Amino acid sequence: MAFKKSENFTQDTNNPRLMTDRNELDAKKDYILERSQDERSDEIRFIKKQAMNVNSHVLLATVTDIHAGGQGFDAKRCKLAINEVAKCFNAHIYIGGDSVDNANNNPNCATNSFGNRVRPSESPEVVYDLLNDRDVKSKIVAILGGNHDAEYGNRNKQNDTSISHHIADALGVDYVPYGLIYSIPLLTPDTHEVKYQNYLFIHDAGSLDKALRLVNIVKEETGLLLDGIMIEHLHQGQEALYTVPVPVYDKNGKRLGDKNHEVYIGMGYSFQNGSTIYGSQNMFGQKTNLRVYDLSWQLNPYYTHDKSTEEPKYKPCINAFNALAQDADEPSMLLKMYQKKYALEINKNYESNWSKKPLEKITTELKKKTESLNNGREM
Amino acid sequence: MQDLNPKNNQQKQNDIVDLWYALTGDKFGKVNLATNDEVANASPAGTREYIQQVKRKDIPLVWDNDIVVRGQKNLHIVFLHDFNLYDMSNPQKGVEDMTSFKAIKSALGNKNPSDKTLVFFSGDVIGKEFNITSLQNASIENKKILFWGLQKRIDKLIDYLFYVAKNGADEIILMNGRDEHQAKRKLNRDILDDALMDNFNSILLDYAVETISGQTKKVKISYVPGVKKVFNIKRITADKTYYYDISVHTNLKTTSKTMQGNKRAAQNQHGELAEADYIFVPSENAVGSYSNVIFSSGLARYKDATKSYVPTVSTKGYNSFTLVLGDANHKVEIARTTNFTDPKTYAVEKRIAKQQQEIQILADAAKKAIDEKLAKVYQNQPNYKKLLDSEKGE
Repeated sequence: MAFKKSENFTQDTNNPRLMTDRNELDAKKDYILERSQDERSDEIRFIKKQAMNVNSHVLLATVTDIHAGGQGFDAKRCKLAINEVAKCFNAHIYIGGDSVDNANNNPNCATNSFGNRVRPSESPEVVYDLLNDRDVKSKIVAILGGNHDAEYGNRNKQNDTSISHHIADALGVDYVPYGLIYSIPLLTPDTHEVKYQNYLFIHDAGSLDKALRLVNIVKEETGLLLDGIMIEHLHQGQEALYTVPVPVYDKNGKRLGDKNHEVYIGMGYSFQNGSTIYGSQNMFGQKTNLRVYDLSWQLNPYYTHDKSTEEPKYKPCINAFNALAQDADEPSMLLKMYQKKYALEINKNYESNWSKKPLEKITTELKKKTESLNNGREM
Repeated sequence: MQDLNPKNNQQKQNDIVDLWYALTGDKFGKVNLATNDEVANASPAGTREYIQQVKRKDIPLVWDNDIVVRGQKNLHIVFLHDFNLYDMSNPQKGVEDMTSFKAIKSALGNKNPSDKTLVFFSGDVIGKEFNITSLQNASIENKKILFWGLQKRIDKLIDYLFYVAKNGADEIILMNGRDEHQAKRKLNRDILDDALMDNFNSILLDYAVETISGQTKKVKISYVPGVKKVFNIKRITADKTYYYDISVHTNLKTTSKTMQGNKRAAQNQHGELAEADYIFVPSENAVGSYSNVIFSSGLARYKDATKSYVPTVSTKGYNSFTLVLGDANHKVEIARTTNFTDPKTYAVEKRIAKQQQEIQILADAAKKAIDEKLAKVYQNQPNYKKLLDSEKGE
């Protein structure tokens, strides 16, 4: 077997920089279930995470291919999109690869653009400033490395430093080198039980066939059946549904047949417009945007008790839309509708009140509120 | 005399067609629709008649009726296609246990109650296996001829139309697909226009649907000719009228399973796609969206495949969409639905989120207070002389 589960995150290794040190419960809401480590080297291959907060609907925002600092980077719309999405209490913000366009300072660097709008050494700060907001940071799932800003990215060859790793460390969020499997708990619509949806985030799968094959590979490796695969790199903003045959075994390992599993492939946009003269047509294209997904469970109309092995009772409802309007720098109509339900206004009086009180009073109130919330959960 | 070729002979082929006609009245083959008198009195056509016929061939791109939305902000659109009614080679998914109806009802209901619902029967409804060859080759089991003719398929289509009207549709549009065009070529009849609309248009005039609230409503059903059509959506508010447009491309033939392949096929077969705010291509093979082009999923079990290839199972459930109509012409956005909450749990979820936010505020205030205390500790310069003196005294 190529992979083994790592037992000790602080074990001696030849490449300590490849491992994130955070093996404790993330203070916000997610925790790492597994870091899968290759036996042959010390590389962390993928990370499996699980969200803690349970909702009936979740807003998954895939902020991919920001390309901060490069020619064509749309800073205004990027900041607007991230901040608007972060207002929703059920938002999960995933930062995809290529958050930085030019990670190394080589004047002959081969990046998307042949010009930088920001000095390469300063571009990580641009990303840090975009994300270093209380509302945003608390909702970040992880930061993925891409071919421009990860340690083995082909546009980062002269550097061999993971810029995105540094940004993640500075923000106090998780860094993912290759792939993230993220499990999100959602309530079923009829019985209100908790059921997980599983998504794989990777920067580039190479081809559609290779992406679809990951469904069975991930199932064999982790036991999880993917509901969606989120791919980046191509800046396209597409979605598609495919049916993948998944082997079914009995408890003794005997093969019974195949089950047809529907998997969603989502591809995010980018915040980089046209960047070179030979791509001038991109300057006339649509404005940059952020793809968001309202996730929930729906009852599968084809399910019957007799067909329970072929048809699942619940199917993921993956409702994709754009975060920003195409004709203006403002939230889209759909995001505004969503915010009406899920955006929480910070009670400024509450905040300023408690910021002035002595520590003892604050901790007493904190204890009271935490107990009341936990009691609600236990009930 | 012994039957030397029991499985296939001309006599049986003729007999089964005659029997079928006797039992059902179904005819096969092209029919000249003119009466005998008309034929007797006819003469050759000239240039004028030729020009008239050429003009008639032009089907306008834009439908001459508008889809009207009064006051509502959203238009919920459902695409129902690839029914393959009574076909054996690629039947409808769920036809054996009626879950096909549940799937349609689910697509119709996945919206806000105030949304207007527009349903497209966007082609490939009547199936393929209604021609004479299928009858001649039909098996007979338990004295039953396993063949389902065109009339049966049309009757079934009417059942589906009424089902859709009773379960939430406000307006229905029928368009031809490949199956309907095949029928047109073989039988010289525009099935949806001639056979269907004539047959039950009179029922439609008096047709009323009783809704759950006890009110009745009339569901508008239209047949729209052509396979590449632009529809104007007209939204009438208290003070202004706005326009948006969508295009629908039916009659797609491809075995490609990727969106790019389907898009290329649609472009080639339709002389380019008609640009619109959103472009819908009902497709059995590719399901998803690519820029403003949406490929909706059909109702059949399998994707279209090259003859003799094993087909792949098709994906379901991507056939209903909500258009959010903005306060400007052509300002429109699309999502699967605008139902973003579970009404039963929403209030509790919001309350918990509010409590979590207050806890976060308190935690931040506590961190700040601790930092301030620590700062005071380090800023506090100890009086060493006093401390040493007090120790001496001890």
